[in-house]
Amino acid sequence: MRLTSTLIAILALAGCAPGPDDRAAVVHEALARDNRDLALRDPREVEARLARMAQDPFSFFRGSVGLWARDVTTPGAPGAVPSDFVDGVAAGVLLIGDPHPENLGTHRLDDALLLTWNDFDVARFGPAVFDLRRLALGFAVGRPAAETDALIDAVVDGYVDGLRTPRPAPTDVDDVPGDDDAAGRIARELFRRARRRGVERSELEVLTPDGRLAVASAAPDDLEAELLLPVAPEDAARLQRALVDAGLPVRELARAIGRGVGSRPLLRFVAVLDDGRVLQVKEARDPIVLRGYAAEHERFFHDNGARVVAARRALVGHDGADAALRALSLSPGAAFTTTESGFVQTARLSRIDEDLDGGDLVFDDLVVFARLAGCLLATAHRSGLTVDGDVVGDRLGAALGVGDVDRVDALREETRAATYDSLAVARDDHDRLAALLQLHGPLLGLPVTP
Amino acid sequence: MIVALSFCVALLTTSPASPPTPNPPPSPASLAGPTAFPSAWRAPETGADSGVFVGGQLFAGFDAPLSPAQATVWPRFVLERVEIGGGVVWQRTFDGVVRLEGIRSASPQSAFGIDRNSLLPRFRLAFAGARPAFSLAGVDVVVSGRVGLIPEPWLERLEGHSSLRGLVALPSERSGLLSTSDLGASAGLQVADGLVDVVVAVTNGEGKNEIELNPGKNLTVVVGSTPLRVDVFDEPLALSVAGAWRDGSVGVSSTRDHRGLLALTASHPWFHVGAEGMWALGVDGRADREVLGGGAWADAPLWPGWLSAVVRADLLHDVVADSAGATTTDVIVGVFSDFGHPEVDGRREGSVLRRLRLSLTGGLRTTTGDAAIIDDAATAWRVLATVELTGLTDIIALPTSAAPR
Repeated sequence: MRLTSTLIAILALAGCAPGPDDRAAVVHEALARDNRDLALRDPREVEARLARMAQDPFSFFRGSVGLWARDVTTPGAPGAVPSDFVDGVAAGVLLIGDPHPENLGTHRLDDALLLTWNDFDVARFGPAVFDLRRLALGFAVGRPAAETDALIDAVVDGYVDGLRTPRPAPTDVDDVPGDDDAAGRIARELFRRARRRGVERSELEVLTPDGRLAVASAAPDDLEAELLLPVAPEDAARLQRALVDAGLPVRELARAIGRGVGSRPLLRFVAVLDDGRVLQVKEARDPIVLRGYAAEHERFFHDNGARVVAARRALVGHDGADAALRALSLSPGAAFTTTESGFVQTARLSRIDEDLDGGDLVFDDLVVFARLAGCLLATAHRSGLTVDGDVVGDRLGAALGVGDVDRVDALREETRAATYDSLAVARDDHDRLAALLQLHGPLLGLPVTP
Repeated sequence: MIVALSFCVALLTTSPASPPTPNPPPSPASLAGPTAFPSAWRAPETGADSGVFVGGQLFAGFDAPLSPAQATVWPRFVLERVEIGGGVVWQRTFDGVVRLEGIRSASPQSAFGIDRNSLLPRFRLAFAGARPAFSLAGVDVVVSGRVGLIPEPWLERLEGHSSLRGLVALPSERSGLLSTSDLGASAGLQVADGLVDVVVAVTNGEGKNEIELNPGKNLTVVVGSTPLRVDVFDEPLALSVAGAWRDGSVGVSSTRDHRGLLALTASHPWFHVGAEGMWALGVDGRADREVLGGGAWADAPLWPGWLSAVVRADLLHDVVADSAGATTTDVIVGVFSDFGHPEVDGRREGSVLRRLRLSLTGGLRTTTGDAAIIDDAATAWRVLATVELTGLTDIIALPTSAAPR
């Protein structure tokens, strides 16, 4: 009897296979792995990230680049469409890692505003088409199916155009590439807003009237709230030391919460320097995993902060378009600094959707913005580095065959196929996350420190 | 599985009540089973009945991979394994084993670990065990039990039958389908010096580098046999077969992590050959990934003790519905030298140095089919020089009483 009970107990403990929806298990495990250590450190921020991802398909897309990277590098998984464009230089260039419409934004460059990429948290080396597919998916995932082809093709055509002919990133004192009619309005509206907010010095909105950071005493119940909190003493000491070492003597520090989607649980701080400048200090962690890809990051960068800063300088040019851009070694961990400024504004699809719904924009405006994004991706890749440390330049266009009409058609078809393959699960994955949160709780069952 | 468990447990429970038999107990050398090669996994089989032992193992080399796709050659020194450990043995029946290994602090594809990517020591094995031996109806029987950070039973068994671990990991370990150790407990039964060899292990399932993340436990059953021992060319040939099944789960999501394994090995003074076949459903935390694979290896002396030839071929196939899937093949050919010391029962005579081997090999990896977006490894060559050092003392008796005043 006792033996039988023991055997039953052992068998009951053995193996716990998932239900019939294997995809839900894949989503669950990928999100659990990407958030597990963060949940141990700060479960509230992970809960906020997952809740935000569950709001709509585009938010899910923004928070799930790790899942997407696993998918496209696993044979048979959604989006894992083999590529004919991974030879030579195209097999290994410095990637943005997560290019999508809301990672485009403005930066101040002397008296002009520059439109370019603004998020290099997961930048790494990899095949150029990886970025191209991610960007195409970013434009398609939140839009109606009828618009998908036009948006994907616009991204690819802009990318090919940018590889054929070097084009600098546009500024608000130049013409926007492709702006030969009213279609450049999205970029121009972004410039206008950035100019207005910059003149208003909106970065100072985090300060009280007496010039101190407006710090709340405790995190509110509202997970969506964006505010400043006191810095933990252990973080304050190492941050101040690192900032001083980087030539940025700091007057006051606060922790910023409520920003971003994918990077929501990362540590962010707002720093007021002795000279009155306001900076953001953001934790830098490992980039995305590309299964089967051999490049080893430590060969190229000193730490993750150095990786992000080096990627920004290489892919944006103009020394990163930020005089306060620094890598910080925090021991343990790494971070980087950027300028907080009203001149730094990010494209928002929700705002574009409102303008489309209100008739202030038409769909063609979005298509041209997609084409511009493709062109900017090409500009970034051209100015970036190969795994040998050389500037990519014209070699990427040659490797992809952008001078050959048939090759360009093939690239367009391949990107369409890959994007549709990802889209087939992208919207459902959002629903799956909502169901998983219902089933396993707001942290998906992740362990937390008691 | 239930039958195997019941058989195992039933036999285990018979041992205390069994009357003494006139047959002598099996010799100490047979307690560890039909192992022909230096083992990193268990206490030595020579020396005193009680005492301590220490050992270590080093696989290091110079690796020069060439990627034609990127036109790069990246030569580098590599450290595949560095381990040191030891343990205590009492009456050849109870033992405790601890082994430390050196690892890189950043896991693969993790950018940075501790102070960039420093080498750090960690526990690879730490378990207590018992292995009483007796005769039952004239048949030699060894039962065993272990608890702690125990070795993966399939890898333990197969490494004991492969002479080439220092050159390259077994197919199932190399492909990442098995972790070398895990927290848990195991029970084993060996009958008639390897004719029947069963091990059942219940472990967390997360491997040695992770805590348990779900309520499910991995159940692994390994069944093996060395059924054929015949003379071939006037020398003994030992043919061994084994199979294993794992019902597993991994991660917070309890993702399935099942394995099925088969192996066939043959050991002869003139050659060693082996083959392993594997099936996996649920790989690397992906419930939707199914993998089939296998590997085969052979080595034979050209100039005994001084020069041997070796060949190894692996295949790993990702099963993809409505498609040919993706297949990666690896072929390694080369030579190695034991510097004039052919192994005798897993050791160089008269030395704690069980193995000193230098290998020089070349390899080719090709990937075909739906290899996803990455084409980096479509074709890759490599040249590898490896030195393997395995040292293990006998069991050294300790003084049992203080010296008289």
